[in-house]
Amino acid sequence: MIPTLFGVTILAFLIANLIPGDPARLQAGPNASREVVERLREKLGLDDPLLIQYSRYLSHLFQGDLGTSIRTRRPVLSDLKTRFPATFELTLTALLFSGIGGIILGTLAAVKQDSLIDHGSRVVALAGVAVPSFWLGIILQLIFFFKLRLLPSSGRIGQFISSPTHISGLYVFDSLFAGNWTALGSSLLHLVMPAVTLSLGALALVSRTVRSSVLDVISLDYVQTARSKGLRERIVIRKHVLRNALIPVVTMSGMTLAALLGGTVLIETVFTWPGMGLYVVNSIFALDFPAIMGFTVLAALIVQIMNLFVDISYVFLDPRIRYG
Amino acid sequence: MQIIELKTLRKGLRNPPTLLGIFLILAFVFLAVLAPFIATHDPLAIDVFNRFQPLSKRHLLGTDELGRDVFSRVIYGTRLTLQAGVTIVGIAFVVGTILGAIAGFWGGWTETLIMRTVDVFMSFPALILALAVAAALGPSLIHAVIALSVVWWPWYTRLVRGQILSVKESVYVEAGKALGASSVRLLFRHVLPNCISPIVVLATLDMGYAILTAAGLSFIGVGAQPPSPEWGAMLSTGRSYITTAWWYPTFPGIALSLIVLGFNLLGDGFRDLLDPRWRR
Repeated sequence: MIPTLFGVTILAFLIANLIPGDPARLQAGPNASREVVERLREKLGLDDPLLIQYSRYLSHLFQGDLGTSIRTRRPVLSDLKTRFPATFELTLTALLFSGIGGIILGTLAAVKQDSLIDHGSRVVALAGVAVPSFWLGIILQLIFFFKLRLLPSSGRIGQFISSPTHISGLYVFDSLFAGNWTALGSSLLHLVMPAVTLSLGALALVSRTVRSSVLDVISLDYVQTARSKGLRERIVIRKHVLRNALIPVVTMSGMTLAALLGGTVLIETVFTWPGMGLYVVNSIFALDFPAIMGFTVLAALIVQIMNLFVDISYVFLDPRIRYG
Repeated sequence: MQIIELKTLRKGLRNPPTLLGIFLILAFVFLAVLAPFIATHDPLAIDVFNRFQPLSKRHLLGTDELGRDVFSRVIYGTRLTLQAGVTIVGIAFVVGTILGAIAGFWGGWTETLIMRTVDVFMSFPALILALAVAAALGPSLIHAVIALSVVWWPWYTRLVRGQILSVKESVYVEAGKALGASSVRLLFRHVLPNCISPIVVLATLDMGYAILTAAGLSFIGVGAQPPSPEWGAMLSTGRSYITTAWWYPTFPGIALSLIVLGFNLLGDGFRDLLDPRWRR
């Protein structure tokens, strides 16, 4: 993991240096005089050899310094920090939707193989992968906001409702904790459409994986044994089959999180969700490279940490696995 | 080099979902090639007196905010979408296979270097890394396609290397070696042809993902720029007009879903033929 993270920083640094424009000119603004730009270039050390620039970048990174955003003129890290909870709340909800929904759908499809549910789950899986999430979001907005007026179409909370006291930054959790029911209702309503839209692709993948691994496990001898000792089918599936069949779901959860994190960039744009994805999209138009690269490195770090958790969780899921 | 036996192929073709996939892809290829004959209007022709016209005989899928014909734009967009998908997957396929073959066949420090690089690329969410590269290159469809090719190859390298490692030890490769075949000949005549089928499956399934991601980049604004009739770019502009003209963002999205569905069905069909585990 450590060498990979070094690689991540090298790649991020290389991309940032790909910029055809002049970073000093960008940071100084279009009206700055040549002299100012030159002085800034010297100050930023842009004339130094790449290797020295890289080691400087790395040492800043280790101190938690991702640079200063050109657009907001604030440290990128604190910009990302304020937007992280929104993205985290959205991604976590989508992960739960796709995980729980996918497991239920996949298990039902496998247990009732070739039934209506099985065919239905196949259609959902095909649609979930083929339909672009950003388009689905727009269509859901048209139906549930513009036509039916059932769900809000943008933001995290109603315009005239103050956000709950900051504890974790997750509105649902914070308002629940403070007992603020108005804020809770509003933030839940705001969460529904973006989270469902974001989760559909992952839900499709999870349900397919669960279906095929349940089918693998269900014909094993120990399942027959469990049945023949008179356990009810529900118990057999829940306690004996699923425990083993869900290991592939855990394995793919790192990949799923990466896909969801990428998806937030699109979904936050559609639903004006004030998270890191929307921040990075706005940064692109300002050619704000410190912000873009900061988010990119952070995303890679999050995926790596998730994969580490996945590896550790095997120990609890499968007693045969032990890390010496 | 025969990827699948004819008999299996015939069996696979009787599978309705696979047939639907083939039909969808052929239909889109047909639309792309014959776009000038099928489109009823010039996709870029502005007609401000006919803005937001609903569906009619004259404008089959209505018109947009500049009076351009949505039907003709969707048809021409097929070209851009297919070109983008084929280019991304093509580059990833070639680069990824070469690097994977080098890593798997020769091993040593080259393998370590290549596979470490693969790990680095794969630790980014694909869309986010592509976004960063495309942003650095500047917004255009070609830059988005380049950015996605940069992001896409590692999957092929990993798959090819794994395949080669498992084929390399086969008896027939040993036999070839014993007969004095050069390593290049061994690789191209004996090892690679026996690894190719999973790579073809991946490439087919990938066409859909590549097309979706390219459209996503255009939607965000780092890909195709207006007035290009690229579907993601059309969606990006069209979503602001959804209450006045629902047809404007709706049809590019349907086209996108159908083309991706086509490639996924075909890829699933290929996989079922080649991997009996998935055949139930």
